Amino acid sequence: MNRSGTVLATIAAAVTLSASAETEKWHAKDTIESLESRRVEIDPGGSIPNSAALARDNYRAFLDLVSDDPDLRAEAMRRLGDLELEAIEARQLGENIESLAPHGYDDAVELYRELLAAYPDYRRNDTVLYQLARGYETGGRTDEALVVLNELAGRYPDTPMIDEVQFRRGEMLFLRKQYDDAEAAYRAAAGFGASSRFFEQSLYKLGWTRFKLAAHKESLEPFFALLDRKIGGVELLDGDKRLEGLGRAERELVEDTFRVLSISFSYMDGAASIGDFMEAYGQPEYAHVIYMNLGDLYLEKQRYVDAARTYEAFVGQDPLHPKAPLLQVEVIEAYRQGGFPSLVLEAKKNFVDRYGMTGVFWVRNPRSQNTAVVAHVKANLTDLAQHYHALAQLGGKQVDYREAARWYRKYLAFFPEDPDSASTNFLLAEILFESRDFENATKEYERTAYFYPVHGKSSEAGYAALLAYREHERTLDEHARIAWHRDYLDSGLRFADAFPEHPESGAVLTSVAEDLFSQGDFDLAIAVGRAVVAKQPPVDDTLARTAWTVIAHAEFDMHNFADAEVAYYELQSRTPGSDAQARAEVRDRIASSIYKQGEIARDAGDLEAAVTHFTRIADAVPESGIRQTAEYDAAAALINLEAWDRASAVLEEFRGNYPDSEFADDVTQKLAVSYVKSGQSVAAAREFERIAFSGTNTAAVRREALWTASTLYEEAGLIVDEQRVLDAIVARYPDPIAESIEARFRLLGIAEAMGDHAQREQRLRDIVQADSQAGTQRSDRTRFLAATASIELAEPVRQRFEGLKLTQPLDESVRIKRQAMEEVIEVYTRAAEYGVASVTTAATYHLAEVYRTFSADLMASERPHGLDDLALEQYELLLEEQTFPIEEQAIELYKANTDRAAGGVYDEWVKRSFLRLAEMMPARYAKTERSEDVVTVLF
Amino acid sequence: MSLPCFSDRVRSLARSLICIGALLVCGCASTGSLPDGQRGAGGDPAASDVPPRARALFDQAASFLAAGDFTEAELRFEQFLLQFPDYPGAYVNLALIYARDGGEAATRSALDAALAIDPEFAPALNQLGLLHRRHGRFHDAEAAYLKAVTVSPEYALAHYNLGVLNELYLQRLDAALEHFKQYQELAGGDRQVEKWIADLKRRVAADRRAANLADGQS
Repeated sequence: MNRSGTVLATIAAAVTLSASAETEKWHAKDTIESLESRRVEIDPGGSIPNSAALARDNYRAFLDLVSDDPDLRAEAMRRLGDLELEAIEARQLGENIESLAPHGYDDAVELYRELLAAYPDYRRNDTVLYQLARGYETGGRTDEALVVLNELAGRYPDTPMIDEVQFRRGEMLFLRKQYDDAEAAYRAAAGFGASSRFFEQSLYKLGWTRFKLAAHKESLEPFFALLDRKIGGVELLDGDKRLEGLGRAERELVEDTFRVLSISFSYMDGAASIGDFMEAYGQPEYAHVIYMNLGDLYLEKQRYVDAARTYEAFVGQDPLHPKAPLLQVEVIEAYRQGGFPSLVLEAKKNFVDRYGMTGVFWVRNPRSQNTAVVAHVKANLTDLAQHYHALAQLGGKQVDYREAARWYRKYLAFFPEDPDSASTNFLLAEILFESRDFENATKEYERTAYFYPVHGKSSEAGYAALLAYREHERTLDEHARIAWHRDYLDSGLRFADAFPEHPESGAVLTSVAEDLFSQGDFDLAIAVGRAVVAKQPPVDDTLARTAWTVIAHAEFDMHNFADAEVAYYELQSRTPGSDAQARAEVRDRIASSIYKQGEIARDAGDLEAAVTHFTRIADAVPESGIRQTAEYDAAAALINLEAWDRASAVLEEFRGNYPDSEFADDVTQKLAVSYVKSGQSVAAAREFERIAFSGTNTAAVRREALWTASTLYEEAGLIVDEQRVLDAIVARYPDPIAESIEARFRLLGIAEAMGDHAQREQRLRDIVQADSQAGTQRSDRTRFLAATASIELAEPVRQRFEGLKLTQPLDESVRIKRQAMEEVIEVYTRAAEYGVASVTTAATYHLAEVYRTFSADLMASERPHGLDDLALEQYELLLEEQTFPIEEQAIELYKANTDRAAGGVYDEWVKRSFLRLAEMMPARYAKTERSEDVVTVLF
Repeated sequence: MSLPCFSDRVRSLARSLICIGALLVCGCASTGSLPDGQRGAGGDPAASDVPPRARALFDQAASFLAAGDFTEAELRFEQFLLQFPDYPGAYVNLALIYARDGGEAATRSALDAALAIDPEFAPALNQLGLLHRRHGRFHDAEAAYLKAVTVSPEYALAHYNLGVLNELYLQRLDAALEHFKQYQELAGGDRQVEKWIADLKRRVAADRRAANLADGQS
């Protein structure tokens, strides 16, 4: 390629470059005129090698040598001109072009001119003309340059550089405002098509030239042809960076083109003209940019409606285009800037209707690649909802509430799980609550609180849900209220569980616990109540007190009395002393809890535990009304445990504490049993005496008690006490005789033990008398006792008889003794008549003894004084005669006894009778069995 | 066989004996039982099968008893029984000693032990009869005496005692008469018994006459 072509191209590029640089941004003041004032600046080229200067000198020398040969000389001159021009250009490039002396170009021009003049038919004169034009142009002689170029175009229309020549002509004509000629030149240049290096420049300038000629419609085609080349197939971004993919120069070129197109369309019929053109031309990929640019231009001019319509035109013709929503947004923006609120609102609704997430747009366009659209959908939905929300709050109209809710719901339907959805949901709940749709507000608050990951409004929503629950519950009938309230409680629990740090958490839980308790749902009430009191930091005292009340009462009603007791202590510590009634109730419950634990332990057979519980009430709640019963029960349990000493201690204390208790009689009986079992006979006896003298017991019980008392006193050796009790038995219970007479018998023994003879005798007579008056109750036993008594009564009679000595005068003493003997005989006979074997043998023996001693006494009696031997002998014979039958009588009586042996009677008196008989009749009765003194055989 | 009613002193002694004389006890084991033919009251005291040591120990104990040293006799018979537990004679001697103190239970125990070894040991049966009689069990006494005279017809003491029992306690004069007669036949020559026989004969005859008279009257 030759140098001059490069320079021209460089100049042309410099023109556009400088123009672009100044109009990098569109400004309102930019007009078509501003383009005309742009200066042409020459960009310095590369350096010229030194070899060029040598060649020039050689050519000069050559011209001097071969000046006769015209061809050689012409060629040499042209070459020399080229070199001269290059040398000048090189120098220009090396130094400041302004300082160049004009005559430097003149040298080259002169050379070319000489050449043309010398060789008018030189075959390369097209090149010479071209160089000459360059030389003129370089030297600032543009008129002459244009003439040369015109000549060149005219004479050499087929020269290879014709496209450049035409373009340069166009440029020069354009500068001279000869737009018609320029248009032709540019058109010719552009006519060489894409193969020409000047094609795009030509299209650009052709468009501009037609624009200058006000041929707007005609200007479109070259501009669009240029755009097709520059951005056809290029992915355009949105907004200010839409041309980022292009180089700076091209970007400016495209922007210029956009700008002039917008102006053109605005001079025409606006968006309609775009449509018309594209209908004919075909819709380019960047069509939306063309609309957008025009809209933007209108906006700059504050032609808002035109702007909106322009944007909308694109949307209208290709609503599913990925960029269509963005233009729709611009529509809204245009109305907004224009101050048309109702149009804005309508546009927003349209936008949402068209590009809502359920629209067909999203079938074609993936959400991930259209995040800006998604953001606009959200923003518009939010705007719409808030708009109506504000209206509703202002005017209170239900229709506005509904509309706000509708838009919030749409947002949530489109973006159910977006990070922003939670706050939108909260707003939805709020609007529902404000519109008094508490049921749906409840749902939405709950959804806000629990459906999303925790967010700033979570806990607030959770609490608001509870408030909404309460509001709605007021509107429900009884039946519906139950189920609703159950849900409310669940929500409350959920709230407290999810948002323990919420300031109302404790209050909510407490309220739920109370509710659950009042519904009889004790298990849950306890669980919730315990959650309240376990909260950290602790809830305030009022809540804690309420919670402990619920826990304690619920545990109590669940029969968890141990837990209830603990809970009541907690409650007690939170009940102010000034609230006397409350404190009393709590303490009463503590006592009841303890008592119930005792009852349960007792029923389970754990008596020790039962006692522990029953007795500790005294320490825990000494003033409790149930304490008395508990201590009584403790004693009963101890008795069942056979812990007699402990039982009696408790019972004694009980009697001391409650002397007038309704259990007094029972306590006495239990004490009696305990003392008996623990071997405390005396204490036991005293209790039995109490029983015997208590009016509430039956006669049989009292009588039995007296008997037991007497036995116990006897065991304890307390004779006087025993006697007192027995006397009472005899006095109070003459019937049945069988018992009464035993009492008398025992009294007899006591009298004997006390050595009280008079009393003993009286007791004996009592026994005899009791038996004799027993009538049908007379028995072997009464008879035996009476018989025994009677023989005892005989004893003093016998002793008196034995004590009487026969002394002289014998008649008198015998008479006295005989009288005594008759008395003795009578008493023993009467004793024997009872027919009681042992008494009969005794009586028989004693009778025999009476006869024997009387006989012996007679024989041993004092002999009368003064008898001689004979008389004495006769006296003694007479005495023997007198005593013999008496002795015989004695023997008969002894034998009567010994004869009983064969019948199996071999008691003391029979044995004694045998001994007497052995003495009195040894020949017959002194017979003793024989035995070896020692056995000498081994076997 | 257990050792009945021995004092603690005897038991401790027995224990030491067992320790010292284990060998001795083993050597005596063969004397534990005797051939039936050599058993019975009045058996020859010099019977050949009695170990000499047993005989000697027994005789020593018996001599203390005969001498009235009851304490020593009791000790020795008890020691004897530790080594030779199968001789009823020793038990009967112990029963004699216990009966002196009126210890019915101990006496009865010793007699039961003797009779467990030999239920027909006449001295034991006789002592049992005595024991029953002392406590008024006259028919039990009679049974014991009768068994004694049945198994050992020559055992005179039992007849004597049957005479006393029948006359005084059972009022069976003819039976008494018969047993006294038997006694006289076996023991012979007791003048007092002879008088009793005469008295009984007279009384029996009188009773018989009275009975006949009663029968005739009726």
